[in-house]
Amino acid sequence: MSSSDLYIGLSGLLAAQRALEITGHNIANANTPGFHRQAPVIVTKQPSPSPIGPMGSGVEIATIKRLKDEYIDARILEHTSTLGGLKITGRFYKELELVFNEFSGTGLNNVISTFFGSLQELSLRPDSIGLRTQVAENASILASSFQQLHGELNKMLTFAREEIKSDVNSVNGITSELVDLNQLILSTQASGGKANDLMDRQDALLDDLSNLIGISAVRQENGTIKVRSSSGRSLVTANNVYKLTTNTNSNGDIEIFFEGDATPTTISNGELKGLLDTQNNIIPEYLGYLNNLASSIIKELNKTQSEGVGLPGGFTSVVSTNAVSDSTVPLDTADLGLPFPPVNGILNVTVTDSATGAATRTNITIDPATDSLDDLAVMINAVPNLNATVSNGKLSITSNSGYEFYFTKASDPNPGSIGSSVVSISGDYTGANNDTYTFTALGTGTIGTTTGLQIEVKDSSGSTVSILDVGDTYSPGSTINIDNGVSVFFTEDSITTGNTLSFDVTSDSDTSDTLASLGINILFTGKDASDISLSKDIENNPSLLAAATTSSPGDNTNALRMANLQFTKTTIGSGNTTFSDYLHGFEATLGDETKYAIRENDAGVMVLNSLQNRRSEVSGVSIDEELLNLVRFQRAYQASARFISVISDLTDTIFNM
Amino acid sequence: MLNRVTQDILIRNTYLNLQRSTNRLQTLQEQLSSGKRVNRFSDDPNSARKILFLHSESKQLEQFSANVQEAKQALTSSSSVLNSITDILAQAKDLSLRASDGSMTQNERSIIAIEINELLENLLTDSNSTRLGKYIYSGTETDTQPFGAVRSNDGKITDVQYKGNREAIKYQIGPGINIQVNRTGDEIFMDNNVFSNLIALRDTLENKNNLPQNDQIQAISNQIGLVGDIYTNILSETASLGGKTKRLELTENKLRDAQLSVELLRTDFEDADMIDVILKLKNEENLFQAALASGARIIQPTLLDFLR
Repeated sequence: MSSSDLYIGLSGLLAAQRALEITGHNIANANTPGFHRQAPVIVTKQPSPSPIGPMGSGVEIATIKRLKDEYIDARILEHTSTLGGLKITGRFYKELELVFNEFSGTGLNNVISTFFGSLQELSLRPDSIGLRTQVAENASILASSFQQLHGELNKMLTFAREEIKSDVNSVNGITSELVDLNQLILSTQASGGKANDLMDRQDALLDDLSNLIGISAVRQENGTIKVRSSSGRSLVTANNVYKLTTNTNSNGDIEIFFEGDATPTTISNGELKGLLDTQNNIIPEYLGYLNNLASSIIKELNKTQSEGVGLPGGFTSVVSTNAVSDSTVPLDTADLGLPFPPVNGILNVTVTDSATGAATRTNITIDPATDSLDDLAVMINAVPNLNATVSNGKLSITSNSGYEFYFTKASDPNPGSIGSSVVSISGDYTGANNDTYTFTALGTGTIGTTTGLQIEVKDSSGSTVSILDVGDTYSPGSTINIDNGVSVFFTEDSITTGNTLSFDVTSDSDTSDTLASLGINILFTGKDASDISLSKDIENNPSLLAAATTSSPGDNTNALRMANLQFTKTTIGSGNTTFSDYLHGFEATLGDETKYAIRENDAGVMVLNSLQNRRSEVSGVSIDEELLNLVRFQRAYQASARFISVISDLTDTIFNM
Repeated sequence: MLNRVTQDILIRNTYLNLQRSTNRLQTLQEQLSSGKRVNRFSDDPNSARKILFLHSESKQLEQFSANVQEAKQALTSSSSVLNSITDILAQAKDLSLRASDGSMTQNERSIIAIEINELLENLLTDSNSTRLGKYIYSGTETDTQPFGAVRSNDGKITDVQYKGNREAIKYQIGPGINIQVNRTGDEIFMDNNVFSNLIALRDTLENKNNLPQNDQIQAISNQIGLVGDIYTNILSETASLGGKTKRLELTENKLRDAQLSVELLRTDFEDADMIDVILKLKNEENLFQAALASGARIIQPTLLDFLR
């Protein structure tokens, strides 16, 4: 019995007390993010030698262990990053879906259907001002729906960009704090302590950081943490922090750099990756779809509108809507200010004498690779009774007084005479291509009298379209159908073998698309979803809506052509499809991508959850376990105290001897 | 393997399960309240595409039905005018048959001529018929009265001129399918010489040219033959209009059937099966309550409740 026995008791007391403190610390931090359960490492003290062998000298707590599975922690960092990205893209996809919102009956699909429906209604009563106003209104709704969607998508883009900037600030904040903690850890360890709780704070910060940006973190021998971005660049070392910065490029897109770098860094994970994806891919993709569809609608409807006339019939003056920046360069020069350049083709202009109705048709051939707007003006000027000038990049065409002009496909009703028989043409040409029909008399005699008299009709390729019986079986002045919707009648006059007469039949009076390109007599102004609007002229005067190709009030041919555009496949983006199929196509893609994003997000939550559970298995605080420890160490403390009191009793016994 | 299970694992799992359960509940609740199975693209992208297509399709079919209706009305009003014209022609034929009787005096024939003149006026009125304020027989010049009469000093019609054009009016009754809904006055009246023949008949009855009675009777019966031909021609025009109307009725039925099947398909894709949704909702409710109850049971107690 010696005083060393008391020290054994004391070491037990102290160890139990320490252990109790650790248990208390664990319980107190049961809900602290990043906290790793701590456990005392209890060892026997160095025994002292004695004649009977080494004698135990009590207990001590060698160190406080931080229970941690490095592998799981690394996996959690990785999956937190992945989920951070997925959450962002999922959120934007869901928002896009809401913006396009087709299932409440207010989406684009409905607006487009309604617009074409009103065009069809107009075709039933082409001279109704009420129906014209309705078409104009629906066209205006269509235009503003596009603009509104475009605006919403742009707002989302701006939002994503703002979020990139604020996330980059957060990253810098966290990395700075990590370096500060590294410094504290270094100084703590230097004075012999183990900075478990500082490391826990770092671990919590790493979770936050990995949510923002993909990282890998390695705990160094000296207790400091070293963090790299997923592209391999250092973010945090023991002493240094490498900060990120942002820059807005010429497209308005945000790029992320390491401070002092000239080229942007790759962000391959985390919220920032999701935001960059949103900015660079997701929103531009749908903006692209939207713009393609709007451009196509503008182009196709304008082409048809420009090839028709409204209730007032022909024009005496028109001015183009789209100004070119340089009227001396070829029309297909890039960035000339036109929504799309004209193509190689012809423009058909008919000038009529208002008094007699006599019509002159002229085909103007336009090659945008060589012809400038000034050249075009010269060509139009050469047409009798037409004057064209260019001012401020805009083409204006006027007719001499007493004349009017139009650009429709309607055939000249009075192309002239064959022999001495006057020919009248009627009907709407339904053939696919522009053509010239030539009449040739196959015999000599009087129309309507001479037996077996015939007239042959050939097209421009020289093949026979039809042979017309105009002999004694024909009643002069009655209509004979030629082909492709075109009819003819002859007066009772004589023809001679070999007499000919040619006239044009037109399916597209502006194959060069010059009118739609320059914006002459158009329905929509603008070039894509950002600026599509109803033309001011038609908004102010819906009677200008070109439902007809002639000035007849009952003529609905152009309204039918416009209405039929909804069934016509056109080039939209890179494909060839109808307006609604294109819309349905990209909206279904949006659905697919959103569904995929949601599923990935759900899967990410599950994986992260199970990883966190696995971390909790190792590092989490179990209250029950701590309570057991509490009881255990309490008992140990009590027992050690009891031991000291026994030793003390023994000492008393000796003293009292 | 015996896992170490800590409180936060229990809490995390309970929370996650409750979250997933409420998510499913929300989806079902949305389906119930909207009546739709697909409320956004991502609910079922494949169906969503079809639903959008069917929505457009349904709208188009609706419009085509309206167009067919309108076309039918146009044809019907045209054929009712033609009916009244065949009546006029039949009357003219009957009257002139009576006038071709050799025992009739010129005075009596002149009375018949007055009746024919009356019929001619009726014919002119009919040929200038309108529908919804638009002339039926003036081609696309629907605001121009198609037939203008040239009258003599005593107000009798001596000639009728056509002022419309020969253009067809077409309505769209299917994608790219247009149907002509008018016949121009030129084709029906001028090509058949309806007016000129009646004028000539009236003039012959009046015996303007002072023909001997036998020649006059011969001329009358010639003209009766011509009027008969016109009658037949116009009757066949009416029949062809009737045939067109029949075809339109068939189209109308087809459109109605198509619309019905589109509607059924759309319902199939878009609408929620209420019974199914309600059963699922009940089931999900039970699961949710079980999750709540089990959570409440295992989260609360700790060793503390038992250590005294």
